[in-house]
Formats: sequence, C-alpha cells, structure tokens
Amino acid sequence: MNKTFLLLAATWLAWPQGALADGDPLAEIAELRQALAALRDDYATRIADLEDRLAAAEARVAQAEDTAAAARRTADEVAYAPQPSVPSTPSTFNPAIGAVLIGTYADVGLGEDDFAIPGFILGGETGPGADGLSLGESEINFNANLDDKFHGNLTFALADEEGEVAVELEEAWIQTLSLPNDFQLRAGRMFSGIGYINQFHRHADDFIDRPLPYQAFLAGQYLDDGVQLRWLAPTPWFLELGGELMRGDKFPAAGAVDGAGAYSLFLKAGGDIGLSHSWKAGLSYLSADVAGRFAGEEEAEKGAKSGEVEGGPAFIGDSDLLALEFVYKWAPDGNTRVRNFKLQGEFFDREEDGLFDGLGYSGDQDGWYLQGLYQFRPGWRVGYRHDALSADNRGVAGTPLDDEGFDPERDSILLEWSNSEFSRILLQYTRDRSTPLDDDQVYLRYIMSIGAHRAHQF
Amino acid sequence: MNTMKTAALALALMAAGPAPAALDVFACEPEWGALAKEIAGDSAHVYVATTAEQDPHYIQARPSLISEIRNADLLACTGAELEVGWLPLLLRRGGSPDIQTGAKGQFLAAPQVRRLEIPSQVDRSQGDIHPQGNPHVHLNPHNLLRIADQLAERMSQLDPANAGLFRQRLAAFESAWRKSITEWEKAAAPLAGKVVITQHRSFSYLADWLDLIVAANIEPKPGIPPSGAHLSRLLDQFRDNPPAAILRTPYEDTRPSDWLGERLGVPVITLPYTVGGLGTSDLADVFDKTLELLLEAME
Repeated sequence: MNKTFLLLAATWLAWPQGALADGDPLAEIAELRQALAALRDDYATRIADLEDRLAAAEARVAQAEDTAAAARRTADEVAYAPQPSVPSTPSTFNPAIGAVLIGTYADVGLGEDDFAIPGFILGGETGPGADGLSLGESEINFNANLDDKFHGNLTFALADEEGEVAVELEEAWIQTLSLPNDFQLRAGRMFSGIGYINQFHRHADDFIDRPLPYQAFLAGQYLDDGVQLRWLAPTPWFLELGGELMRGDKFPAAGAVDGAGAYSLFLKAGGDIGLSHSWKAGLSYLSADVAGRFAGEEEAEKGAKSGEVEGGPAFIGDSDLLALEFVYKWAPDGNTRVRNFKLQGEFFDREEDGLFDGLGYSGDQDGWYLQGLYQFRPGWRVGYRHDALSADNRGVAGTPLDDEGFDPERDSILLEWSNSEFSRILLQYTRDRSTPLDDDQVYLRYIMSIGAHRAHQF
Repeated sequence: MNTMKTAALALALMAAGPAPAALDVFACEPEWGALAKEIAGDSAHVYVATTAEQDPHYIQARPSLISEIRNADLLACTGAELEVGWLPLLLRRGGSPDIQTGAKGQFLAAPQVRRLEIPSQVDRSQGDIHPQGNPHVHLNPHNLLRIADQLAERMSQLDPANAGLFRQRLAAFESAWRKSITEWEKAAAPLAGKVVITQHRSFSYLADWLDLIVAANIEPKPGIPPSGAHLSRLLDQFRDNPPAAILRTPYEDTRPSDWLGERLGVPVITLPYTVGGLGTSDLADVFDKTLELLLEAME
C-alpha cells in the first residue's frame, strides 16, 4: 500500500516540467503544492493509525504476559501452599513434658555408710553410690511459657529410698520473659547460677558422679528456694551478671533460721574465637549463714527441717565459697555433629568461721577438677577427669573436720555411646582416693529421655 | 522508566529524612539470611547464626548467640522443630518480647510452604522426626518465592519506612528468580527419574523438585548415625542395582557415604546445601552449583 503511494508520488515529481507547461506555471506550482500537502496529510493519518495499532498490539502482549505470570503465580500458590495446620484441641496447650530414666550397675568397694572425707562435712547424695544394680532417680519435667510474660518449669524426681518411693522436688520456678533492659527474674526452687555444672541436671553430666568439689562444697548441687536476678550486658560479646537471695535451708547453708540464709553473686562471660572455638568463664561467690550443719546426712536433713541444733556435732557460723569456672569447646568449623572436644574445669575455695561442736573453728578448704571429652565419631565419646580436694582446718583436731593431713583425689575415664539425642550409655572407671581407703570403681549406666527434646545448653 | 522510578524513590527517601535504625535480623540458617539480604539490601543488618558447614539440628546455645539474639528485631528461622534444641533456649535467655513465639518479630519459613514427609504417626522409634514435616524446605526454589513474599511483608510491617524499597527489591528478586527457575528446570531435565541415596533427609525438597528418586538414606532413621550392619545392608540392597549418586551436605560425616560409594562404584557428591556451602555466595549460586554438580556426575 505504502509502496504504491511512494511510487506514484515519485513518478509525479519526476515528470518532466515541459509536459505540464501548457498552462500558467504559477497555477501549476500551486496545484503541485496542494497535491504535496494532500499527500503529507494522508501519510500523517496513516502513520498515526499504524502507531495506534502497534500500541494496541503491544498492550495486548503485555496483558497476556501479565496473565501468564499471574497464572504461574497462582499455580505456585496452589502447588506450594502450606498444608492446613493441625486443628487445635485442649491438649495442644500441654507443656513440654519430659521424663528421664536412669539405671546403673556399679562395682564399688566402699559401702555407702563408710564414705566420709576427712576434713569435710558432707551433705546428702554424696559418695560413690550403691554397689550392684540400682535404679537412679527417675525425673519428670514440665515446662512451658505461661503467657507472654512468664515461663514456668517444674521438675521432680522419684527415688527409691529404703523400699519407699520418695518424691523430691528439684525445680519449681517461674521466670520473666519480658523485663526491660535485658533483666530476667526467676523465683521459686531452682538450681543456683553459681559455678558451671551447677545449673545442669545431673543426668546431663558427662560423668556418672559429680566432681569432688561439688560433692564436698555443694552436696552435689546447690538448689534452694529464693529469687534470682540476672542481667545481660549490652556488649557485643556475652557478659552476664547475676545475684540470688536464697532461703538457706539446703546444704551448704543447711538450716538457716531467718528464711534468707544465703546469697550469691556471679559474673559470666563468653564468646567465640573464629568458627571452631567457643568459651565461657565465670566467677561466683556464695555466702551462707550456717545455723547448724551436721556431720552425717540424716542429721543434716533433720536439722534442716526443724531448724534446731540438736544431736551430733554441728557447725554454726559463716561459710563463704568462691568459684571459678571455665569451659572451652572445639568443633571443626563449629560443626559439633561429627567430632568435637570440650575442656572444662572449676576451682572452689571455701572459708568458714564459727563453732563446731562448741569449739572455735576456722576452715580453709579448696577443691578443683579438670575434665576433657572428645567425640571421635557421631555417637561416641571418650573422657578423662581428675578431681581433688584439700582442707586446712584449725581447732577441730579429732573431730570429723580434722583433715588428718590427707588430700583426697580421683581419676576417672569414660566411654559413652549415644544412639540418638535421647539415649546415652556410659561406662566409667574411677580410681578413687577420696577416702583413706583406696577404691577401684566401675560403673555402667543408661540415661534415657522420653518426650520433649532436650535443650542444647552450652 | 527505571531511572524515573529510582529518582522518585531517591526523592521519597530524601523526603523521609534520616532513616530510622536499620532492622536487625537474626537468621538461624544462611538461606534465610541470604533471602533477607535479597529483600533488604544494605538497609537491614543481617546476622547469620550458623554456617553451611554446621548441622542446624545440633547447634548449642553458645554465649555468642545469646548476645546476638539480644539485638534482634526479627528472627528468620526455619521452624518445624529444626531448631528445637537451641532456639527456645536462646529466646528464653536473650530474646526480647518482640521475637518470642507468635510475635510479629518471629518469622518461620517452613510453615509458609507445603511440607513433605509429615509423619502419620509421631513416634521416636522413627528417629528424630518432625511432626510438622521435613524442615529443609529451601532446596525447592518455588518454595523460596513464597517465603520471600511472606518475609518481605513481615519486614515491611516491622520497618514501614523501608516498605517501598523492600517491595521493589522483592519484585526484582522474584522476576529474576522466576527466570532462573525456568533455566534450571530446562537444564535439569536429564536428572528426572534418576535414583539417588542421601545421607539424611536434607535433600527431599530438591528431589521432589527435580523428580529425583531417593531410594534410601544412609542414616537408618533421622538423626541416628549408621552402624556397620546398616551400611552392609545398604550395600547388599544396591549392589546389583546401584543408584546414580550418593548425595550429602558439607556438614555430614563423610566416612559412611565414602565407604558405600566406593563399594558401589558410584559418585559421592557433596552439594552446597545452603549459602556458603562450597563457597557459594548467594541463593542463585547454590542452585547453579547444585545443578552443575548433579549434571556433571549423573548425565
């Protein structure tokens, strides 16, 4: 169409002038101008028309693309949309529930009643444990967020004590979730924040028994009723300050009468070094008013219950405990799954002043342990621990607090197999020189957990 | 057109005055950190808690993570119980109320998409299974589109001043991503129907996307390391009919898969799994590299 026009126009313009020269030349020029103008107008209209059609076509393509994209999106929406969530039932709000089952076979030379460390008054749950087959404490735990501001935790342990099932309340606390400025308040019965392994449940320990300083200074673990305030400092690395005010009924305070017999302060710091190394260290202080700590477990419990100071020799006075802790963990590229190593140690120093069995007594005792655990392939770990105590007590010659110049120590090795995160089987050998009677001890223990997934505490 | 948009945006930004403090994002896994960066660019601070060399199931609540989660305005994590061992502990120790369970600042990716392998019976004899299904959702690129969309919306709610920027960057990401998906799907066509063995169920979504058939796992049950007996059974099972390849992540034990691969005479391929794995720099790179390795070994 266009070409024909161009051809026509070109022919017309190229026509020899003479062929048109039979009229007035001016009139002819005017005629030609008119023809040209007509031609131009015609072109303009046609071009505009073509442009319109092109624009319309483009719009249709864009629309089609949009439709296609929308269709693809809808298809994706349908194909990858999540399944409807599980309908809510009243039990949806059940807390995380977990139970831990423990059983042990032990070959221990020392009788439970023979266990006494010269220079130390021990609390309950110390010593090498029962010989032969025995069932450990079966522990049951509930925990959940109560609402947007509080978290609650309850743990009790069932143990067989001379044929009767004894229920022991281990933890019953609530904790805030939303205090401003990174403060956190916990109230109730809790494991104290002092030391490193004190906050762990015993079934989470690497070794079968607690290290000697824990047994001697904290009766295995310091738990008490009270309040704890912790503050996370706004630093780029981990720094935490905490303090506790405790009732003081439990060892080491053991029978404070005013209902606020112990307090503690602690400072913890930690961080990573590159991808493969991480650490945590801390300094803790525990001060207790001791209103009557008895030599012997039963007396201690009786005294704690009644608050009276009766029977057997007892300690009345001040007890100050200082603890230093550190833990270092290594895993290649921070991947703990295949291989990892942990080195952990704590040092305790205790000073006591007061009366023991009516005699003026001042004691200076310390203890430490160092342990390393290496996971050499998924599920398998080996470990070694050395723990030791030493006492320098004055004014108590001939009493159970007389250290007789003896420094208790032990060496333990461990082999652990865990099939999954929920089951562990431990084999431990200990060369025990914690009492003047040397003893070789072998333990085989299972620790299995039912229910809620355990937390990977550092 | 684009210059005009950019100019308008620049003008709008200038009009808004100095930007408020950038959004602090705590990403549990590298894939969500990378996605948050696609959406926010430099206008959010993204901290990634784990690397591609770390098994996300087995992270400990390290002190450094507690001090980092303190600052977070937005948590971008997988959910479906992948982080059950460590995230609740971090949240209790250091998390602000704004990122606790159910809060707007807690974004979980897995619930945004269709999950595979939802167990009909939840029992630990099945291993460490997840009642909400397989949590490794990021290895199907279609899932990332949905998750990006939802994440951008959440980020816009928390940082409305940057909502326009997030929307624009999301649109750019989506259109580039759709184009990439088409290319990947075309390139990956020869992989359809190939049989593979994977170490853990980490590649279920990748297999679902590419029509790979996962015939077995080296772990007898999720989370349970393989015994010698289990490996021998696998060897017997596949000796006469070997798979095209054995797939594993950068963080898994190499010994069982190497042992089996050597005896079956099939390639053992370590895939990037997530951003940072095998040196990958972003999400597209992860898929590029994954397909390159799969095609190289199986074509």
